[in-house]
Amino acid sequence: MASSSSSSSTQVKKITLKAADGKHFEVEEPVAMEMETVKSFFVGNEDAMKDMVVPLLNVSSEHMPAILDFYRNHSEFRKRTPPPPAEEVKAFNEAFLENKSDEQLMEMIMAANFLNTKELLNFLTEAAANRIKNKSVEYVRAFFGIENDFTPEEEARIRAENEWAFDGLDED
Amino acid sequence: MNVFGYAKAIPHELEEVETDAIGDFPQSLAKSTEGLYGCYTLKTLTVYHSLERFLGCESLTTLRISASLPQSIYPYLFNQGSFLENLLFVNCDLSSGKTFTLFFDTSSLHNLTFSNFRFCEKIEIHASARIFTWKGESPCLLSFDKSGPHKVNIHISPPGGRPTKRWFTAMKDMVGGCRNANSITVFLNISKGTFILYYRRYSYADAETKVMKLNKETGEEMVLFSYPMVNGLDLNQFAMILEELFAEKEAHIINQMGIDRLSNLPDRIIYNILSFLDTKYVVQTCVLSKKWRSLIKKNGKILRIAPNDGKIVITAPRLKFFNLKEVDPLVLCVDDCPTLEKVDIHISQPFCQKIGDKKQTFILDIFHMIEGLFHVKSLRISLNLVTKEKFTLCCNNEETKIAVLNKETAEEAMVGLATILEHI
Repeated sequence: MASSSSSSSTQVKKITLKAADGKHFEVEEPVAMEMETVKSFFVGNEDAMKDMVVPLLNVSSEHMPAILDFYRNHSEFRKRTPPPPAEEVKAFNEAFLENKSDEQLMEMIMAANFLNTKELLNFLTEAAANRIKNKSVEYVRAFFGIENDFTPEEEARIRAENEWAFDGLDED
Repeated sequence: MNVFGYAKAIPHELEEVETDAIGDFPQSLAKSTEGLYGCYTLKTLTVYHSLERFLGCESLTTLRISASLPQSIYPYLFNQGSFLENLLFVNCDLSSGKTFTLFFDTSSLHNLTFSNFRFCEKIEIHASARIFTWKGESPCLLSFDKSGPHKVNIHISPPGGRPTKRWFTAMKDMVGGCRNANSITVFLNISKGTFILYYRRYSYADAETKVMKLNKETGEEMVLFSYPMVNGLDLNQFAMILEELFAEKEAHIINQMGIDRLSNLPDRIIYNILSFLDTKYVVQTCVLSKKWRSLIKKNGKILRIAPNDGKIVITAPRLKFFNLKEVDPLVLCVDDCPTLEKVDIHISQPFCQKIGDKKQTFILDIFHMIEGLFHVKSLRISLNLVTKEKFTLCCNNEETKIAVLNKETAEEAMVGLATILEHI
């Protein structure tokens, strides 16, 4: 990023975040503040700003670069005037999800939940929703690894109770 | 006897006494101001003594007992010790029986500790200690009355090797006995090192479990992983993590825990995911597992379909498309569905079993059914008859039309409502 360094004296403050596996990440303050969890760490505790390492217990270092990338891009999208064309945002979002396995997606959802950022969480949960959309019950179970604890009779009864919902599937 | 007399000597201003005096405290002590009673500076007392009847200096804050204990300790043993903050039972054993009951309702009590309590299989506590600590080798059943502790610490050093299944079950029961505590910490001392299994309750629904590795030399704690627990303490999960800690590789824990990724997501995330789905997919999730079923049922935030006296109430803030097939006419109440754009209702052979007046009522019922849906951009009802016609009623922003489709010729003709009634 070749952003103007007109005020060289006010260098962008960096905050160090520590992922679950102990790896450190240096992040520009405004990006770090996108995460409510990090933000709340500093609220009313301004002295802590200096050299404080914020531990992020539920975020593995594997996902940190991608998550930070998301924050950086989306905060840039928000600031830009005129707003970026929808295609550009969409292209970024699609690229973000590309090559992400279901498992990685779930881990990132957990991370986003822990970091308490609505935008990322909504984006990822919508992606998860899209992946289970139009899929059979068996597929969804396998996708999320849910153990079926119904007896066949119980399952048949519940299916019958909500028949209309399952009917639609046959057409898919 | 001398020790009590000595302690009485106020000029000494004793603060800590440790005594191995054998036998009961002198009877007179409980009544008089002699002996330890009179020693108003005493703060810590350690006794290696069977407690049949106990004195208590008012100044006493810490009492450590190492003795053979009766099956129950009642408040009168401590009636004077009303400022006691720490009560410790160290290296005690039970003189008879397998259950130990403690009644002690002093509100100042902060720490209650049992360390290496032999021959005891169950501890019943009727005390309002804030922090409860237990140390030992084999699990012991714990039960608390309603004012259970705030925090529970369990230090356990299981016998060498991989413990038996019974041990795990006993551990599960032990932790289960503390389920009302806001946090439970299990320190597990095993050959691989010391692990800390930490459970904390945030709210009624959400909680978190963490596994940390404790470096004994440096005292440093390293978080191995942390894990949200939905619906409070999940004992099976707890036992599972415990078992995994004995497994070959630590990394295994994380993999094992990843099995049911979504079911263990906090409810709010599941709702969040579901809120992006159309109704029918949301309803489908009710057969995934019991947990999901209850989730769909109990929360109205995403979608609530509540059949009630032939009336269906639908609440779905992000619902866009709603599709009903093969239902008897029902009154649909669409409540709080600002994004609903399209409703399709499809009924085939609606009249085959209906005759005469019933048919007319049926049509009226259908109109009742859609009464609440007129704000929807596109509404479509199709009646697929046994005969060659198919009626559709379409209603969208621009127009409302009733059409009859001739299935054989695929010709569509606009008809009035009266025509439908005629046809029936």
